[in-house]
Amino acid sequence: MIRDVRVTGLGVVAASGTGVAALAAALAGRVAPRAPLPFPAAGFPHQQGGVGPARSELLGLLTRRKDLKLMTPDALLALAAGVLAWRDAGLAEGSLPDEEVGLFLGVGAEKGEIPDLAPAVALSTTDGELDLELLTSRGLDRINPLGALKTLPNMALAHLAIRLQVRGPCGTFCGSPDAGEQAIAEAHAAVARGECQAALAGGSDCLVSMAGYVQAWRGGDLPATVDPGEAAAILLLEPAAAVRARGGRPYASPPVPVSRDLLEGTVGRCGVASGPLALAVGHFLAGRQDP
Amino acid sequence: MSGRVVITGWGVASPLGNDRATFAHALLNGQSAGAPIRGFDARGFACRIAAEVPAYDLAASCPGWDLTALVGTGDRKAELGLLAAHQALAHAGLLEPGTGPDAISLGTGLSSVLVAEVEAELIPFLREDGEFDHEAFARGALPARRFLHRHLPGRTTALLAQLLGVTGPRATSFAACAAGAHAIALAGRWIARGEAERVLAGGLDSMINPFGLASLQLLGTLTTRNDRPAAASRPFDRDRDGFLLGEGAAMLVVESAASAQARGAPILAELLGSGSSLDAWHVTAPHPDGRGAVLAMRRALADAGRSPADVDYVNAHGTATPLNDPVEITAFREVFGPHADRCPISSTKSMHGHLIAAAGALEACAVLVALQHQWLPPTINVAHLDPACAADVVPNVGRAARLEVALSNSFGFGGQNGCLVFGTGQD
Repeated sequence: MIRDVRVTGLGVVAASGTGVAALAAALAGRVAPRAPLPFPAAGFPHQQGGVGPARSELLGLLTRRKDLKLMTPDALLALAAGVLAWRDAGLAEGSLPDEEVGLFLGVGAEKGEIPDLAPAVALSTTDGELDLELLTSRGLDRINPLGALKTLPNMALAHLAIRLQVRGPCGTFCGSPDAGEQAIAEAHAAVARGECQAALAGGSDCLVSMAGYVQAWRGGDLPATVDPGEAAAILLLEPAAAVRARGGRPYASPPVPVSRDLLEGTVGRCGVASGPLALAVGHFLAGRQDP
Repeated sequence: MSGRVVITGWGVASPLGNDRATFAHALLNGQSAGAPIRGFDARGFACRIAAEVPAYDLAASCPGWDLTALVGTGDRKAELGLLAAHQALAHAGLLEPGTGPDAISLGTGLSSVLVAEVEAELIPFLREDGEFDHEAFARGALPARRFLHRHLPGRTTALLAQLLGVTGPRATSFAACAAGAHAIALAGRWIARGEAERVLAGGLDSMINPFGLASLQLLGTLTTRNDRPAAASRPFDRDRDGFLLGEGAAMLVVESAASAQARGAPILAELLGSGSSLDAWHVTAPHPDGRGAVLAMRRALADAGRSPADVDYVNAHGTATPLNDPVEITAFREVFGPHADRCPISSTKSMHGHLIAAAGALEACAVLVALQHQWLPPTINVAHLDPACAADVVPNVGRAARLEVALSNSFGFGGQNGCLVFGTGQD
């Protein structure tokens, strides 16, 4: 049986601030907060970007501060957005069975930074070439043993799962701008088909760390006219009947099921004609593809 | 899973061979791919052995495909992915123009930094004090873009979509060691939901390079049994000391039964169901009670509409790390109850090593081989079965068995798990 699904919680951490109200205020006021990029950006074409809240503002959402050592910025943003979405739905933590809550995230590319290897490589270089004997005898001691682990894109999912103690169906999608939408589509399907009672789904990425920025800039994804940014946005999806039963407040039905396909196909699968759509949010990048 | 989902082709670029027949022969006969690392000078590393993919000629193996996008990138896992994809599509009869898959779902892994990349993009920007000169990098970085795309997780998915003209759904799953299984599961869900008819699905990974090996060595996950590489991967054995690093790719053509029947494609197996879960415990260690593993197996069986007693064989995640194996057997016993004493569970990683993000996909192919040949692939190198891993692990020698339903386990770093259930596809 396919169940109707509702969005009951939203968690947003972005340059606009922490929470949905901050985002709404920024959108309503046409405010685009900009701040200096938080890494040595001299020489790069961008000096400013949409930088999220100070990390110190998010620490209260962590269970253990030491976990920060194992988090890339996008993992921390995802964790914060997930906790906020849960709270926004009016649910107490642990109020749903752990195995009944799914988690699906769209994430960006891996965020390993070549400069992170600099101390090790500096000890392992001979005449401009890497000397593997020096690397193994001296350089490896200068590499963070957990460094590679930290950069795994699915760590955002892992940290959020640990924080909220959720063990339901899951998925991590990466490598394309619609990864977050893929995550929401799969979460929708999981809830609609009764595979779980609720699911957190959304996306997280950070292009204002050096690794994220350099990848986006060199990959041609950042025209000079577009600022890099960082954000996480996570939705909580629940069956409509369950929301009604607990007196929850639904925002909307989530998109069904994917929008990577043609818009017509997506709209068709939602069961509505294109006429009644109140708003279509485009993927405009101020680049050549906009027309 | 609603609507039958079947397998109509598969291909491998694996440590046990770069074609289906060689892979199957080695798998069924208990051959190890463990050997001293050939790809680079690993003398200084604590682990100096691995299971590498045999030499290949990419252009000759992928006739008709424009491979110029890969030239000079050092993107070995993409090359392996293309090798396996070409085989799988040829096997399924989907290489002719206009007949290809309408969707792609791949699982991929971390792209460790290459030596050439370090020499081009790091060393020139090191100051005399050993610090990285960001500004010099910023001013000099643009020309050396050839390595960049190697770090984009969706690169191979996009490349294959372009080569095959795929306009339907495409996704890249990143679930660490469960990525391949997640990708195949997603393909099955797309088909069951009517979003695709023919999906190229699988996994690809290669970390056998200095920085990849270093990262895993630093995590303490690798075997250091360098003196006996063929005996190094010892899942469930009392003396196991870590996994043998492998590499490779495996691709399946996952198709709706209606599509396969309509075009007269032989059905090789059926994807009966899939399940995923989260450990929510620790970023590296599995839940001590195997909580996530239990949930993933149960979900997969429920999705398949099968009970544990229906399962004739389990292909274990079976990494040979001290932590994984007993936890997996605990979870297996929790799910299978009394049937656990009758159901064989083997780890083919004992032969082909741990392919990380590609592991779930290659092990899915191992299950296909087992179902096709009605033969249990063994867990080799079991000299003393760990009492904490007590089960029929098909020790050392494979054997004939009646196999109708098989389960494949994949458990990843970060506690992200995925399980697949396959059947013979025979009504």
